[in-house]
Amino acid sequence: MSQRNTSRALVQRVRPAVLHLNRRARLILHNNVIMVYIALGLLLIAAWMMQPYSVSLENLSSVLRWSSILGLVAIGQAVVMIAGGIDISVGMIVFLIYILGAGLMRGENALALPTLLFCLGIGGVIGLVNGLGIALAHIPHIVMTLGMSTILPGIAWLYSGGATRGGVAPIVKELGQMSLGRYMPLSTILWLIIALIFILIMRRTTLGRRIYAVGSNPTTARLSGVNVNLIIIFAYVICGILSAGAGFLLLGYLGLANLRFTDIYTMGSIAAAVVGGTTFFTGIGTIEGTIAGTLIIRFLFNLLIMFRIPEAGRMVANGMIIILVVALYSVRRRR
Amino acid sequence: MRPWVASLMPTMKPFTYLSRQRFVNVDLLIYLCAVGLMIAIFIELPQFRTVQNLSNLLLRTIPLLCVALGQMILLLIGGIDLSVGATLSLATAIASHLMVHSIPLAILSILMAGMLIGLINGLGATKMNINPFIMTLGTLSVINGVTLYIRPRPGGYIPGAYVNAVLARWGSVPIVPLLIFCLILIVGFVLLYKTTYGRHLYAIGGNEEAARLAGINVAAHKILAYVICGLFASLAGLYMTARITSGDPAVGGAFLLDSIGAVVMGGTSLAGGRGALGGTLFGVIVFSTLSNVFNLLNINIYWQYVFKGLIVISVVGISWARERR
Repeated sequence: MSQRNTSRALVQRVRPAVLHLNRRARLILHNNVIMVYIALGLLLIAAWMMQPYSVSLENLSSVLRWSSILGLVAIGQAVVMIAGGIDISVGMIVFLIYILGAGLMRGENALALPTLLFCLGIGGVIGLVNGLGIALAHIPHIVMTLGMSTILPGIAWLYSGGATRGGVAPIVKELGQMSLGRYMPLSTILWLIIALIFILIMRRTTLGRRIYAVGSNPTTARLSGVNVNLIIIFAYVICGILSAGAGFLLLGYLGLANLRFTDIYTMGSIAAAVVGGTTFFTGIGTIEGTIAGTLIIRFLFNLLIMFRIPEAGRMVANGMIIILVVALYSVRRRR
Repeated sequence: MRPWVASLMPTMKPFTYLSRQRFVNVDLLIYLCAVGLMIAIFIELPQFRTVQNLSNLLLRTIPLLCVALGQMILLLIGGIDLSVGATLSLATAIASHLMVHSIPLAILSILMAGMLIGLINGLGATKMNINPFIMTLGTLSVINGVTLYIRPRPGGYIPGAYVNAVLARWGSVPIVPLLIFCLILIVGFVLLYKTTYGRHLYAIGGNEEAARLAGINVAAHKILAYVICGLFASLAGLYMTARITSGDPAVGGAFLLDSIGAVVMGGTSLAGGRGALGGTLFGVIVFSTLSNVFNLLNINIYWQYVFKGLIVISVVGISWARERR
């Protein structure tokens, strides 16, 4: 009798805890951000089983360094996507700044800072033009940024005249290739700091909430007193500035400009944002998820290079990832 | 209204508007600017008027017309295909490998590839409910990857028999391309104005829900539209193969923006439901004339990129102003 009582008491004590755990587990399963980080962990384990070198510190350090460049673009892309748009011109902004930065710096330390500021300004102006075209002239996002991505390489080639000009200042090269300790690249720290700032902006400020509001329903946002056009323009300007920053980072890391530029940043940043749980035209997504998405995409690219799969394989993988992840989210949403 | 009149509507529109209350309207401005430009080119550039250049222009117009027709069908139902250019490149790449062995086999497999791509796009856009922009952006990347894999750099061999058959001339007139040009227009005309399918396309674009309630199988029609678009893109690729006599993974790059720009310039609405064959033909001719004239004037190819981007952006921007009325 007493034993039955105690067991019932035990059940009564444990049951809420189990239910609570169950709820907690379901919350985790439904929280895209945590799932993305779990996916990143699983990917690392799988990679370690296939090719132990891929998770060595040297290789992870290289992945982190490249992630910082893609990651800056991806933050911008995520902000634009959360605001309900998409930016196809990011890769070409990176390319333009990559060419322009070297040409303007002319390898002199004194010109490094002015060039950086000027390049960020150029990125902002490109974003502004994109935003104005989309918000005021009502050009569809894809057509506007697609047009821009035709114009920008034209400008870059016209500026360079077919051969790269100038050079990278030693200080930029040094900072771009510097690592804290042995394995923590400076650029990665910069990326994470900027990501943190954007996490705070998107979560804690009115501006962030307005961006989400515009992305999820522009009409409701407008009726609630949000200046929708301004928010859209702001998102594109941010995206342009961050992409310009990424172009400068690329210049610093590689230490020379090269007109043979393969654009992994457009599709890569979209894939990173999508894998990180950002969806198209619905105002859903997080910067935290995008960070994990960037690491996943960059690590996958790194694996492909390690297995000697050519550029073609990377493009196929990139497109497949976007389609599959978007399809997955769309199926989940419908349930 | 008779179908052939409907096909000319966008070109006629300025005149119908003239009789109404609005005197200056955007359609009229676009058409007058374009026609004025063409006349100016015709008068000012003696090298443009030559038979050789005009036949060159015709050769250049055909692939764009073919791609633009497919793109227009998709814009009519409110979709879009960003993978047309990639499909075109893939077609040339396949041709450069298979034509050596068997020409019919190559043609068949290229058309199958185009339709398969369209089918995948269509299934993704309708059954999986993925936004067509995103779906076709993804397939764009995949197709580009596949093309680069089978043909990393321009090359390959195209049998002379095929090239001569497609580009056959009669005197100095390229007679077969002229036939192809007319054939594309006839196919487009019949498809859009003489079949129930064409009428259903307009209905779906105008109001999808209403079309569904009227008993139209919207998903099937949409998937078929994507398949047709893929088919037209691969047909353009077949023609392009004869022109460049090799496989080239980059040849289709320009067609994406040009096709959207030409179709929108021709009065097709990006929101769906509005557009006519005559307008698309007009847009295509303007676009090909512009790049032809840029070449005649020896304008740097990179300036051409800049101009083309600006033209497409402004045309699409103006088209919104037109639709707001």
